[in-house]
Amino acid sequence: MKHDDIDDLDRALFALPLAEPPAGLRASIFRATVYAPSAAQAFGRLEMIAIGVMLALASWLTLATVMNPRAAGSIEGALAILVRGLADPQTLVWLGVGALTAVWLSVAGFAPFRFPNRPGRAS
Amino acid sequence: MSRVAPEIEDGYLVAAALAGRPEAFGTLVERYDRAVFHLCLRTMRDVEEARDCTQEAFFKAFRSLKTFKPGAKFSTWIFSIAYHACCDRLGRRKRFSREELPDKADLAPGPAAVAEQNDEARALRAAIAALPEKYRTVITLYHLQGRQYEEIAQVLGLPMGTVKTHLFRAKELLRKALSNE
Repeated sequence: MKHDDIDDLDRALFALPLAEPPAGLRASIFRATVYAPSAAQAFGRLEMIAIGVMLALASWLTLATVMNPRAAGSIEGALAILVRGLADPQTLVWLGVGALTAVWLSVAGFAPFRFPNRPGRAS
Repeated sequence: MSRVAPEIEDGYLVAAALAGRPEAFGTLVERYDRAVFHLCLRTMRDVEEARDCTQEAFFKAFRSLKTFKPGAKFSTWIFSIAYHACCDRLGRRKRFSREELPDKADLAPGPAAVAEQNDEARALRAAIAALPEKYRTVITLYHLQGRQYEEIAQVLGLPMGTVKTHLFRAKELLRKALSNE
C-alpha cells in the first residue's frame, strides 16, 4: 500500500473500522451505571414532598398535643390503656405471631419453600 | 469527521439523565462505547485492560455527570475521561518503557502484518499499533474525531501546536512504515 500524499493516508485512516468491543461490555457498563441500585431513587420528587408534608403535620400535631395542659390527663389515660393491653397474654401471643411472620418474610421472601435435591437427581 | 449523532442530542441526553432518567445515559453508552473501547484498545494494546478502562470511563462519567458543562461535546468529555483512565493504568503498571519512545519505536510491521500484507486495513492497523504511545493516541483520536484539533488537544490536555506536531510525526511514521511493505 502506498500513501504518497497525506489525503490518501487520511482516507485510509477514516475508512478503518472501529475495534469490536468484547461481548458483554455494554451490559456490564449498564449494570454499573444505568441499572445500578444507587441509580434508582427510592422516592420521587412528589413523594418526597408528600412525606415532608406528612412529617411536618405529625410534628405539629404532637407539639400541639404536648403543649396543651388538658392533654396531659388524656395522654396518661391512653398510656395506661396501652400498658394494660400489652400485659394481656392474648395480645402478646398475637404480637409474637406478627413478629415471627415479619422475620420469616424478610428472610425467606415470598418464594415458596424448596426442599433440597436428593443425591442422584437432576437439579 | 464525526461517527456519532449531533452533539445537541448528546447534551439533551445528559440533561435527561441528570433530571432523573438514567436510561438517557444508556443511549450515550450505546452511542460511544465502541469508540471509547477503540481508543482504550489503541492506547493500552490489551483487550482486557481496554475493557476495564472503558467500563471505568463510563462509570466515572455517570458519577460525575453533574460536572459536564452544558454546550460541551460529550465525545470530547468521555474520550478525555477514558484517556486519563488509560494513563493512570499505564502509569501504575509502568508500561511507558524506553522502547515506546519515538526514536526507538519499532516501525517494522509485526508478524501478523507481514502475513496480511494484502489487506490494507490490517497493514494500517499494524502500523498504528507499532507507533509510540503518544502518536498512537493522537492518530486514534484523529481517526475518531477527525480534523478537530482543538478537541483532540482537550482530550489529551496538550497545546494544539503539540497535537499538530504529534499528528504530523505520526503520519510520517505511518507513511514510512507502510511504504516499507
